[in-house]
Amino acid sequence: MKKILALLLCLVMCVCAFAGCGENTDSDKPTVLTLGLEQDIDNFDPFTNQQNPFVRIINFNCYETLFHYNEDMELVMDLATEYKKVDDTTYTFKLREGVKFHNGEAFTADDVIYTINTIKDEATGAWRNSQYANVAEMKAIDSLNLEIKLAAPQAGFIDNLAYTAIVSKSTTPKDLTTKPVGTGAFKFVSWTPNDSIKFEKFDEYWEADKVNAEELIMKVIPDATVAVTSLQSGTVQFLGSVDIESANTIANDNNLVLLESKYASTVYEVEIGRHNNPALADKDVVKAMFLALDRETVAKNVFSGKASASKSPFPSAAKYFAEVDTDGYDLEEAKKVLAGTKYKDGFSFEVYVLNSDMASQQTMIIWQDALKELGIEMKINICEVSVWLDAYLNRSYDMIANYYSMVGTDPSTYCSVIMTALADYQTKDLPDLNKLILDSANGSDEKVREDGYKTIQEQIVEYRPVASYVECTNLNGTSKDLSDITVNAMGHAFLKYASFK
Amino acid sequence: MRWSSTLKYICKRLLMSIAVLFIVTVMIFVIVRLSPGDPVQSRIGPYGDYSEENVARIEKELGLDKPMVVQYGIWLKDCLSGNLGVSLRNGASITEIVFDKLAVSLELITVAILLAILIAIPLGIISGIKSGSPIDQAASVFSTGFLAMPSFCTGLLLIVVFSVKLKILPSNGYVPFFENPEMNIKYLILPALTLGLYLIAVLTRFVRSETMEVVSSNYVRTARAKGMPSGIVNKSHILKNISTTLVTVVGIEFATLLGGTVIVEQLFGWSGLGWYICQSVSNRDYPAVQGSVLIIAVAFVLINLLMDILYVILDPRIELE
Repeated sequence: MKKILALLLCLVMCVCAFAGCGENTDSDKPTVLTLGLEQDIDNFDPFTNQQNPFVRIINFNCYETLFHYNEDMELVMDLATEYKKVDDTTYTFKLREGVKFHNGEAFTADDVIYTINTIKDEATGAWRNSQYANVAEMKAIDSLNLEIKLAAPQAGFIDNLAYTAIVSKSTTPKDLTTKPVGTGAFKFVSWTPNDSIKFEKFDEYWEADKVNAEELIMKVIPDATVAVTSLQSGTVQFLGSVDIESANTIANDNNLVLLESKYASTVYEVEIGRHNNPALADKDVVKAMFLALDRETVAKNVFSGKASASKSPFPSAAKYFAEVDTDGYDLEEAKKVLAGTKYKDGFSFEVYVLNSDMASQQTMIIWQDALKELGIEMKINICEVSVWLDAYLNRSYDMIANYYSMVGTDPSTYCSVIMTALADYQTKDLPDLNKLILDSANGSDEKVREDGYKTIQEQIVEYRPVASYVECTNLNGTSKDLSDITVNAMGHAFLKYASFK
Repeated sequence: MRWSSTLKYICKRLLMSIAVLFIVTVMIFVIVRLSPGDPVQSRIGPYGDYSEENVARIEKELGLDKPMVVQYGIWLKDCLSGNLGVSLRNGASITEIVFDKLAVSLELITVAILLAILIAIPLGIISGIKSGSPIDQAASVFSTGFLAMPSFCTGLLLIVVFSVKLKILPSNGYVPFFENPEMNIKYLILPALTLGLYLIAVLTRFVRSETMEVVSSNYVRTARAKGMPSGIVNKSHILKNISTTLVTVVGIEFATLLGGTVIVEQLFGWSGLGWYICQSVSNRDYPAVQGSVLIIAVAFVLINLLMDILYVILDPRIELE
């Protein structure tokens, strides 16, 4: 008995001893910046990787772009120091001097040409391939001056360059898969899949004297609750693009700071299978359904006031945004509109919602109740990501809940990501809309484009192949001891100036 | 004679295990492919190129263009030569990853089980012998509480106390022991305690009920009547008689935890096999799921075999035939 008690005592002492030496954790080192990622990445290939942690963080901190959008959505020069639009199809770029890649090579105009050519090469499988299909000719005037000619005017061209990481001409996409070589402030050290990615300060960075963190560690923390407790405990100091629930916890914690972008860049929407369900192809039926959705209540209760009712399919941070969706909640009017259709006795349909998307789930429950009043039965199918993606990509849904976070300020990006994919499905019967989308993307006259995009927004609201219901800002959490991290409306986080108080 | 029959039994079990593993390979292979979702879609992503040519190119690259039977044959042949394939997500060797992750999980499970054994056995025996005493009542409250509380809640509670409030232990992360032993132990304490508390609850209840049964048996009463010291009675009569069933419970818990620690691993960022399987399933990374489940099945079979051998050592009355 005594031996057992002695053993127990030893165990308790061991635990206390370990606990006692817990003062010197990583978080105490003021030069190590640790952030949480909502998912691990598959690879470091900037041509094919579309995952949020890569596109929002690694793309701008390990790699670099010619320029980027800051928190005010103004272009800030990075690898380029200036650019000029010579005519509708010609651009010249002056590149920054003294920039080096992590492998020691000097950055030149040939690297930009190599990057764009690699994207254009079908064999690369680059997801931005279509954005550069219009590039006709590229010429290095000298090592730091570059001219790019387009085959036709493309208004979103500069916008696309603001997200395109420039790679060294001596690397291949395959090389970059596991070992990224960029020009960014942080140089790759190691990657433990499903666990963490480590970077260190790049001493030869062109602005190295302004980089405070010596190490950058990205920890994979998929669970939102765990991520927030990690922020509270100091295990991580930054969480990018958090959900509403986490944002509320962060806002209520005196030791944390909620960083909110200045402009709304995310719209919560449903994509409607007009091609699959005849009731949903009737624009009056869909109008009635949307009159029954109390978007103000959704914004206030589901999004805790950190969202507002959408006035357009586009987020308000997008160029050419126009307030075209002015219908408010009106159940009586909804009943009247539905009564004038052949579906006045109701119908049923199914909506797919991602199991991790709590906001959409709650919105659908609110909407489901209101639709019951109209005699419409909404079946909510809460599914895991593969099932959701399968339905989404095959367009096999009646309705699917989704959200769009801006990947470019030019609405041509919204149209190419969301609308072009629908051209063979729910907008197949709307050829004018599809033509307008193509024409507006390629137009160069600002006024014509503005009018074109206004009409596109109006037509989307009229037929609702996609219907936005609320828009919200990008939300991020940091420790209050950390400052000078900037995050733009698209959730791109710039960590190089991060400093510890 | 006894050992030769044991050896025969082990050989027979090994042959059966091969059949079991074969069935497991077929089941994993089919189930993974029948589940909804498509690795090609995962690879192309939401904004990628879904043209027929690109889809066909990726299918060929991933080896998914061949008939399912051929795919199974190739996978089985590779497995037999120790190659579990490469990840469809990042091209990394599954064999390497799975064994790395297995080692990570084993560290957590072993420490949690050792913790449980060290606490639950004495606590369970004391509770069983002194049934109804304050210690027994306290142990009952403790074990009922931690059995009822899901691991996720226990873990969060520990994080809030030790990481958020006291700030003495990190809440999330993993460092290999040989890279940084101090940090490894710091990262290990909370997840091991979370798993350990549940296991302590399970084992304490089990040891208590077994002890109560043994304590009321004739041979224990006789031993006590003969004036045998209670320490010897506890060790030679009580502990020895509950040990075979204790081995069964510990063995089953150990094997179950190999792939079942996913919640604790995810909660504490402990990058083990359970979490890896979970991520691979949602990514539709077929070779990763197949390889991981196969390794767990092999471990399960081996643990069962080990338990059978331990029975013979612990209880001489048992003959394995």
